[in-house]
Amino acid sequence: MLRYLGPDQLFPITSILGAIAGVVMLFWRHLKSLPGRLVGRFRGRTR
Amino acid sequence: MSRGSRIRGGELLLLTLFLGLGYGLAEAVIVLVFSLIPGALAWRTGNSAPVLLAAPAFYAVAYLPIGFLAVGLNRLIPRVPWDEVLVALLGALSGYLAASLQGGIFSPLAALLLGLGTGAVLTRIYRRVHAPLRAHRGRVLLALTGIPLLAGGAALGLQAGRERAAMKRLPAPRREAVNVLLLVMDTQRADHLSTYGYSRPTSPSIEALAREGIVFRHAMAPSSWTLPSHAGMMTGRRNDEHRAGIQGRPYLDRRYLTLAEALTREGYAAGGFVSNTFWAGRQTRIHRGFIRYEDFYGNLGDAVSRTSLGRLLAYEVAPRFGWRDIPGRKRAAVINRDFLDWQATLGGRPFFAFLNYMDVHGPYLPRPPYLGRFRPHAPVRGATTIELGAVDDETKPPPPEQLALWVDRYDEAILELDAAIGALLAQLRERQLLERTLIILTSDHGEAFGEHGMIYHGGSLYPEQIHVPLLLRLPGGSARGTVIDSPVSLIQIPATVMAVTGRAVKNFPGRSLLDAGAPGAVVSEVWFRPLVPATWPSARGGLRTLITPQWQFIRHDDGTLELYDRVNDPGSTRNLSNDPGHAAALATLRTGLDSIQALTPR
Repeated sequence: MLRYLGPDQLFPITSILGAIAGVVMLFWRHLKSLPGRLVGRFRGRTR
Repeated sequence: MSRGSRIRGGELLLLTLFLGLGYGLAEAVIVLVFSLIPGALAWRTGNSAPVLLAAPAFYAVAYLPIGFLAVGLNRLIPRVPWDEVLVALLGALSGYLAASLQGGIFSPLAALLLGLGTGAVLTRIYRRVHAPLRAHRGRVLLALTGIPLLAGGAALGLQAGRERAAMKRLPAPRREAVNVLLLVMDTQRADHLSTYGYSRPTSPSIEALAREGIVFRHAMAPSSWTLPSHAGMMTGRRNDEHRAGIQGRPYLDRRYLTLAEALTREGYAAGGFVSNTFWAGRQTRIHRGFIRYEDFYGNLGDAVSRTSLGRLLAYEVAPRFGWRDIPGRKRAAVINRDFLDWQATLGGRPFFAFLNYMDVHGPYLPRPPYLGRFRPHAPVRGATTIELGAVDDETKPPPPEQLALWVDRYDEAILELDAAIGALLAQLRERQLLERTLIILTSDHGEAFGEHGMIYHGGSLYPEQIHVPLLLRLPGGSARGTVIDSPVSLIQIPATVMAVTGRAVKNFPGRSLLDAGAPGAVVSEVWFRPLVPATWPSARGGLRTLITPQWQFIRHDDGTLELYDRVNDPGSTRNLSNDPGHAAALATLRTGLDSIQALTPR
């Protein structure tokens, strides 16, 4: 039997990446400001 | 399309139209980009240039009910920004449809999240652009209707121009050149034709054709499913040579010359008229060499099912309401009409025509007056057909009563197709073409009805799946009434055509079917098919069979061997491979298969 590599083998990876992309698009505004908020919170704690 | 003031119903409908046309155009472009990559479009997603017109038109209409709903809700609850809701909703639907365009890339959940994300992004964009969109709505509408019309018209014009140029480029044919007509009855097993001794009178027209020609009683398809079998018929090569349909390669590559290419070099006009668009549509590259190839967009149903939403409706929704036919299935009469219309334009130039009929393919749905011809049409509990592509790991033969009904309907479908073939032959006679035409009638594979625990095809290499009819009517009706008993393969068709048309056989391997010394052993193969029911042999690995007048020898990739005595056991039911008395035959056949495959270029 030939070693089989078909689209169905990539299905789990493409599905996970697609789902992540969907969530990012959906919550883009919140995610965009998340790093800034985290940095701000971290700075606040260290002061 | 208004902020701060109540939106009008007309504006909501216009916005719906924008979204439908816009998404339709986007889908068409995605699909056409896919179509440039061999193998990127799958069996249901094959497509061609008319998608540029069909998809925008379909989505413009399909989205309208949602637009009307928004208009109604806008009247009832005017404070809600229904334009934004519409963009979010139709944006999400469009995103989901785009993500589902090519099955097997995203799971339904991933497609849903991508759809919701698309809806959210489009809504944010819409909030920024709604004012200029409203101000320039006339131009936007013009662009969204004009681009598909211009692009679609240009693509169709280009296609027609290409065909005209190809016809002009054809060299002058020889004066004595005869026409070649290849008729493929998709899924027709030999033993269900009365021509091959079946107890039911399923094929009176084919019987008449057989009386005027040569009948090959033991013709074997090179594989048990459509793509590799057609690729074999077109190239004269075995599956392990042309490799179409082998793991991850759902198309015929350019390695080998096709019959259509060879005959156009001889001045023939080559036309393909195909009903099985799934595995003989242009996305499989079986169309290579044909100047005219009519596959997709044969009717409205087909045009609808070539869109992502149409496919969803046709394959997932419609069957729940009892509609189980193949979406847009082109019946034999349409295939014949398309061929005859084309032939009438050729001005007497010899033709090579390939007609693929799908009338007997499952779901078995004969129509009146053929429905009920062999058994009164009575409802039976459970599915009355095997649906196209519906095979899964649960697939197994239904109870005997239901299976018998399937056979009845299959036989009636044969009778219906036989009548259409009879009508075609009558037309050819009327046009005085019959005596100047080589007619080859065959099938790409058979169909199992419970034999070896299977239904459908593509799962094994037992006789019910690969023993097919093969009839030749030579120009002038010479050699009429001849019956050939030795096993032959459909991959001998190209060599035969070249021999009958008087050209060198060297273009294609193998010997003509008309050679007295034609090979007495033929090979058929089905390669590993990861997505078929796990109980089918081909789901566990590839199989090869060597068929001689006496034996059928099968070798599986896992080393399992099978041996059947074809003379005393024509259905291949008693495996003799472990019988010490047949060890010598087994060894000879194994060596025979090895020596044939050793010739394969890698």
